[in-house]
Amino acid sequence: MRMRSLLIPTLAMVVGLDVAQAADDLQIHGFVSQGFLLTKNNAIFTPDSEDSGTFEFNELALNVVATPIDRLRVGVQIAAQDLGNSFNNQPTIDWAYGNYSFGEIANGLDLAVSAGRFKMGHGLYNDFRDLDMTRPSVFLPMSVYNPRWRDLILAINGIEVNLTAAAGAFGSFEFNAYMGDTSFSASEGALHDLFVDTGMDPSSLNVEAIRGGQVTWATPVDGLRLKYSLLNCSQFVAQGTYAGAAAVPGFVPGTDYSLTIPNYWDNIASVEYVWNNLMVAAEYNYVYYQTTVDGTLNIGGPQVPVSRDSSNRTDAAYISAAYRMHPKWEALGGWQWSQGESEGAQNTKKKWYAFNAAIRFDVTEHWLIKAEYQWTHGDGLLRASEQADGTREEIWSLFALKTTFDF
Amino acid sequence: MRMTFLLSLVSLVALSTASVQAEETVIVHGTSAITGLSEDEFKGYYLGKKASWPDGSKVIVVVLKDGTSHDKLMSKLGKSSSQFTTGWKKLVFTGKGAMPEQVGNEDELVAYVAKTPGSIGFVDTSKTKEGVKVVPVK
Repeated sequence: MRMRSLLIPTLAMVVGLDVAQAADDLQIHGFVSQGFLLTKNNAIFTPDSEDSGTFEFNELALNVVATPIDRLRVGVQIAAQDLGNSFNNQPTIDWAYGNYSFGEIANGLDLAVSAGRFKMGHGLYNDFRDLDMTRPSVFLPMSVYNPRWRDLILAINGIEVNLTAAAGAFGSFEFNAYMGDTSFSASEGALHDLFVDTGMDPSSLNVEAIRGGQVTWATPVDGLRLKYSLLNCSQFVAQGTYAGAAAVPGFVPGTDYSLTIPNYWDNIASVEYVWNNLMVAAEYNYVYYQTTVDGTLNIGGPQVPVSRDSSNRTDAAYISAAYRMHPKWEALGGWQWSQGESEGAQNTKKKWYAFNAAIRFDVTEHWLIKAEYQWTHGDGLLRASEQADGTREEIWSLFALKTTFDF
Repeated sequence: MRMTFLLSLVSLVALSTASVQAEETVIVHGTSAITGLSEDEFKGYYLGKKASWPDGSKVIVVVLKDGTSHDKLMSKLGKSSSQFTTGWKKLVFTGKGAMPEQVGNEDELVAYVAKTPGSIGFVDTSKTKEGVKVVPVK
């Protein structure tokens, strides 16, 4: 209540309204999740996950949303997350934007525009990936929604246009298009960890622009929707120093490097079908990008500057089925698969697949408990630096418990 | 005599069925300019896809926590109660919507709609009163 008493006048000042009107429109919501993660044969996210388990697995958020004038909605959410060695509960502005609805601009055609920092829709669930209360499983399928990439493609600063079109007997269509950019920390976070893990200490990580969009078709078949999402990051540049074992063979540790990805393309084709208490979802994800690494090479003689190119692609998919057998109980089963290939300086191919089962118990409308088990074949999700002995086993499993409160 | 008895019985059953099968209806604030909703508009407002009325004013969705009218609303929307709530939580925690107002019973719901411009509710027709407008869904 104290926070509300501070927020209302602040918001009112910002939008130039009287306090009473702002108070009428203001809503405050939040959630807290706490998980426990235990793995066998390999560790994931932190060495502690193996054998003893870890509680470094939580999310929390607090938001305030208001409609200060007709058609305009403004809001902000502060969030923090901990996932093993990543994120470490650093509070961030999860989203903070205004949305203006123009309403029906033509027969059956609604237009809205958002500006600020907003969640990127990508696939069926990217914008909901932190919202534990919106799904029966603890983790979204990691083949398509890798938790390590959460802070990379979760939100951008920019503008978004949303168009919905009623199509009569053909159902309805929704079109989203966005563009903007984001900043990456070179000293911590998921992207920093990825570079460090491959022996490339980064001093700067920058992207010129992020743009993308989605088309969603709510088909005439009740409960069936199809979606296509496209995301493009242009001119990603990482600069830093090789440390220890170089990621590119022959490159000299201690020398500088520059890695450029001119275009990163990420596509997801999605289908979701809801029939009474059954929900089936399947998605296919195709990622393609080329990299150029400029560094210093040493092949038994003087060190020489070289540039090496490689092309990379990842194919990933999953299918899952969830059934709510009781107002308080829901169960889920699924399969997921991912294959990554790189050709160029190094030719590599990595494949993994997994089966998972989860159960959710809604204690109340605002408190839930979930459990999930995942059996995995392949080490594509793992990092050597997170293993106590530095080695990765081919077959491993994961057990997760999580509870979430929201208001 | 026998036929008269049968007819009386049928009439009695029909009357009692009518009395237990209450009709539900959509209501809006009495000053609203809305005269009717299409099925798509009805679902759009209740599922948070449409947040403004055609005149640009804010839509305030009012729902019951449970009960027959609530169950019938879910059935009309093609959602279970948990799917409905989850859908709204997705909107609220991504900044795309404001949670519906929840009230304890139909009298409270009608009273809320009667005093709140921009609100929309779904209740047993017999509960409607002055200050709200009944809106047909075609």
